[in-house]
Amino acid sequence: MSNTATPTHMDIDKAETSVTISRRANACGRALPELRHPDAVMTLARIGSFFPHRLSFMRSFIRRIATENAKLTMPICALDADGYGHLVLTLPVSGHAYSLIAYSRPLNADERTDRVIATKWDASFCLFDGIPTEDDIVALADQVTKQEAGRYHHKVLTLSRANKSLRLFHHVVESLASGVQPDLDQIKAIGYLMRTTAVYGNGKFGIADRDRIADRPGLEGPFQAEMLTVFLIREFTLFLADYCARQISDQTAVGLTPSYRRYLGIGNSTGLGMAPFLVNHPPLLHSWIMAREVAFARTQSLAAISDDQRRRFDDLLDRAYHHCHDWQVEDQIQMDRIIILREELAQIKADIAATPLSADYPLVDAVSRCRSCSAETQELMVSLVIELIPDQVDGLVDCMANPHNPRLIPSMTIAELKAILAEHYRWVDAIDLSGEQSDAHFWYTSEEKLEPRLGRRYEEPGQELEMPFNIPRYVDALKTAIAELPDHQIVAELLMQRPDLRHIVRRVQTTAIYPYAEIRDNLVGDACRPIDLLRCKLSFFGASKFDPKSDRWTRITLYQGAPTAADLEMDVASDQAASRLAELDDWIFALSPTEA
Amino acid sequence: MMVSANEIHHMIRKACLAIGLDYDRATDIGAAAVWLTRQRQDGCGIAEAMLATTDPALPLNITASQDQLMLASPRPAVEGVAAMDWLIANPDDGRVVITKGLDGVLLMGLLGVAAGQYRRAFQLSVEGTDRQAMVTMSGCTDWTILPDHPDQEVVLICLPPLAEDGHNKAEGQNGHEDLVVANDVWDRLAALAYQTYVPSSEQSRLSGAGAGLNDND
Repeated sequence: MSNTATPTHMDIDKAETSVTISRRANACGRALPELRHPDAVMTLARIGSFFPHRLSFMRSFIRRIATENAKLTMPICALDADGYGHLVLTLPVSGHAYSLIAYSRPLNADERTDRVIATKWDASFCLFDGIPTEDDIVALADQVTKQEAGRYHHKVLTLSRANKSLRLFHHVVESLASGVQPDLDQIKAIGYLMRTTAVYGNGKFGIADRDRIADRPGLEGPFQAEMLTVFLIREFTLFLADYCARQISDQTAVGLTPSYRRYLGIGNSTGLGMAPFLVNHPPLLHSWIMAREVAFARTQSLAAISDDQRRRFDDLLDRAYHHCHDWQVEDQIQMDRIIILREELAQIKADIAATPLSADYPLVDAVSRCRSCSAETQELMVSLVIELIPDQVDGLVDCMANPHNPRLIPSMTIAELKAILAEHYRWVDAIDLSGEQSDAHFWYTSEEKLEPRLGRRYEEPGQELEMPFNIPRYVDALKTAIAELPDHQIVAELLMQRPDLRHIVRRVQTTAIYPYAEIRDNLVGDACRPIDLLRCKLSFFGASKFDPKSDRWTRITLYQGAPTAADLEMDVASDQAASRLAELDDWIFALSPTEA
Repeated sequence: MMVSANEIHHMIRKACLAIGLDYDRATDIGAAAVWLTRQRQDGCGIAEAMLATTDPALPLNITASQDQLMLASPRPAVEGVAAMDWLIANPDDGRVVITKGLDGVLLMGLLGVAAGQYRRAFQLSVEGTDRQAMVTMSGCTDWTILPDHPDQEVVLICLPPLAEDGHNKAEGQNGHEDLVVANDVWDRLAALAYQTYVPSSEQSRLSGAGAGLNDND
């Protein structure tokens, strides 16, 4: 079969994709500006320096429920004097009710562990589709409290569990019970009352598949059911602390002050379990990065900004500076990066105080002042400038879901395939594949809890069962295989001779359509730091103050500084609604509260 | 037992990897099993049967001529996938002739998924008879099309999408139905999938999330 002058599938796909992106960009308000090149963005070091931003999933979730003026209710509270039992928190999202069923149980100290191997927790949760009946709650109790060992049905949308920060939880309860607010230093040092150790979605253990809710208003965006779950868990922890304090002394107990409630988020320990997600979902990764890059590019195309935007820029820069001074971690590598970040932010502040941002293209000027700074500072600036143009950015949230799976384009010619490799996989040429350092690691699924893990290829057994993440080597093999083939030959014919190349051919073709789909770095090399993958994904969740405990896992805090349900419920006059929404949305670079 | 589509996909994919199929084919067969199950076919049982009879190590057995591929007793996950790719690349005049038996339902699953991905339809016909079946993203018009006699040829061609495809899904085929798998099939697939797991090393345990901290702080 020959390919003549008629358009190939590749041409069509490119055209379709271009049109799709263009339509989406137009739908969100603007045509595509010039974007940063994927070679520059998609390195581990760069994506491992991302900060949360206004397109992050927690931010967009809060914006939605704030706009909808969603009211939290508690249809069932069946807790005993010690705070054990169950309760239900219900929140409407875009007209549909969702309920967190929380089961609170006593837990011995020797049973409490944050490891994924745990079998008991202080609290277990599921997000229920609708409002559960008592029968639902009773039937689910045995399952939800066993988490992975239970079986579920499609009315369950997510599954999670959490352990108390005993130190802070007890301190907060005792303080409130005695009529005083807890110690601010302890609030700042820990930042959460409970930490989750997993939030499961998308069909795990029989719960609802993602496609069951993917078209539902309010949950169309990535991880919105999970973000809703964590938001409700945070509400549960805040309620539980107040509740337990009242049980101790209803006469003297006071409620936790709003600024403290807002500062307290949900802790989380995140390890390698989420790292492969980015590699296994190339079109989705592209859509996330693309939205962020389009948002950033729009800031760079602004010829001028208003005085209000200039003041906002200064305020955010100042807030970011203080936020980074609040950010303390034990990990020496990250702490060194934070120290540099602080110094660079101080320098930028001083520069701008001395020489204000230029009148023409001021946000290009802002970014150019970071040109010689660390990747952390540069990426913080990306998050910061995006804040200045909400009207031109927020619609991009609708572009961040991507239901498409990679698909082979078997009609593509070898010449076209070579062109893609030359355009999108030059980075592979820079990797020396000759030594053991180039594939020192291998990714695998562990027998214990079926979690992704990273092994040392030349020291540990199991490399024959590795996940297919050795992209540079696969690309190298593909290049070698097609080097001498005639340009007009098509991929389908190649794969009849070399079926083993089908996976990498499909991957390469996907990158041509979705250029931000591939992390352009060696994921099995000796220098690979999985923590970079985690930070990238968590920044899109909206997590802040990354606290790496090794190069393989990190603690984070979710929703720190975000409005609580009580904040959202405040009624305001209609002429103040817009400013009230803007205020509720303004929680990037959260700062610790002042003394209550 | 009731399972989610995602569970079927991952279970089948891992079971395919366990017998030595490449990652791409394992992924496609996982999707085919989901599609079949949603069509009220025994997607997991069909995939399991395929796994029991497929030796992925054998070389590809395809005879190509002008505009035509000949497959004899094809393995759906190997020759079947290759032929489907070739057919999609040659939609106007390509023709695949299958002889000496066919594990056809799994191939229909692969075709059903491809029909959705490529916005195509596929036609299966039995030579010497007037029997035909169309496989589209919405289903198959005749699940019993497969010939009783292995010496009968089956011809597969690729067609433009049917105008009504995607709009005429039968009730219960919207992706929201409960999916049911026989317990014994699931258990055997799980046993296969288990072979793709690696025992955690001590080093791995020591470096996992939550390691080394006081959990009662």
